[in-house]
Amino acid sequence: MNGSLPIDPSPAALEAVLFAAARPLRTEELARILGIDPAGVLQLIAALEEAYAAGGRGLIVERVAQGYQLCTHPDLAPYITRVDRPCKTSGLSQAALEVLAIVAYRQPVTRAEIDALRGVRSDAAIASLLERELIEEVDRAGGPGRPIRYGTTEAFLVHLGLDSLTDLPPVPGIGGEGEGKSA
Amino acid sequence: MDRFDTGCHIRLESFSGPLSEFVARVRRGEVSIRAVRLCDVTGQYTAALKALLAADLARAGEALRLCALLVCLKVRALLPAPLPAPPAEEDAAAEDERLAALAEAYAGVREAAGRLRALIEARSGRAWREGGAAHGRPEFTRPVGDARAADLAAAWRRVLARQRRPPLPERPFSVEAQLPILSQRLRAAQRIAFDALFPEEADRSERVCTFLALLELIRLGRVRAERLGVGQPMLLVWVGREAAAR
Repeated sequence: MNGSLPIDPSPAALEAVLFAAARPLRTEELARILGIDPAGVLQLIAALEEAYAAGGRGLIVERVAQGYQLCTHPDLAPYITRVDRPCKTSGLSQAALEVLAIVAYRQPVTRAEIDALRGVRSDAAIASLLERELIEEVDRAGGPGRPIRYGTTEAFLVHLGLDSLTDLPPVPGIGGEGEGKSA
Repeated sequence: MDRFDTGCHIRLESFSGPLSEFVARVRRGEVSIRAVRLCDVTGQYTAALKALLAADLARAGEALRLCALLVCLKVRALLPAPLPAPPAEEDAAAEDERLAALAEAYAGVREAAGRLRALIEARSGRAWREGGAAHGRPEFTRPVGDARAADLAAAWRRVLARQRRPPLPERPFSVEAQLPILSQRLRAAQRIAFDALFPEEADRSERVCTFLALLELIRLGRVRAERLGVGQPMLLVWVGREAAAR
């Protein structure tokens, strides 16, 4: 729809936009879509959260990947786990989790660096994580050879419930030179 | 070895640059030849050689010498190595230290993997809608059936990566020739796995022509691609006139 918005944005409008987006929306995106300033967006989010809490609803507004999305209430987990639904993180092998951990904590990282840390080749695990869109090729390393470097995706943050990489739980010994620093 | 730019550049997972530089790095042990499939190198070398032969025989000869050297290095790497001499005491101490550092680093990796598993498990009881375009990058959402174009692209990347054997000498293939063959096959089978269209023995030109023919059939609305789930094979379904009439 073009032109001016027919009604003033309300928590209901915010709810509809978050539902339609099917991905986390950042404050500035919501402001543009709803035609209000970012402070107004934050007020609407607070109002929607309040309405959900007061009404005993099955959804919450969740902050993840530097944005907001609608998510089922954690108390309803016993029901949600009974729903047969595809999930990018289900059935990840130990090898895939180790590779994911290396990429998450040391990104950007090359395949050779991953192999060196694990002591075995990680081709299959990397392919699986690429297929699930939890990691992606971000660039090529400088210097001779210019090998591909991998990093995590927005889907990684969403599926682990992280707002940014700085929210990764601290683990001593894995951060390499940039330990404690996350992008 | 004389470093002489043959004009032959190769692009691999672990290296991208001149063939001469690649061979030099293999010789210095900076790139593991065991992890490199020679057919990837020779395939790119053959393509470059055709151009080189027409342009400069000296460069073509040098490129040939480098490839022969690469094969020699790979063969040496694959042959059983003689047993190493027992390390000197200080070497052994340094090796112990290196192994201890590796073990410590790997322990960190395992702990981090455990933390990620805990986060994933904590999220397993929650659900949210997915499928919207990610921030800052285009998402190919045009449907090609139940699958998206991005799913088809991912399946195609897997097919390209799957070629294990050295390719046979390439035979002439064309999209025009593959179209009726593919149509007939899909019409007869009605449903067929994407990977089944690309057998191991198929060379690159056959794979490319088959894939382009498949894209054309999808564009014409005769084939749908169905994705059964993450990690599941992609299925191609014939929806041409014969199927619709049933």
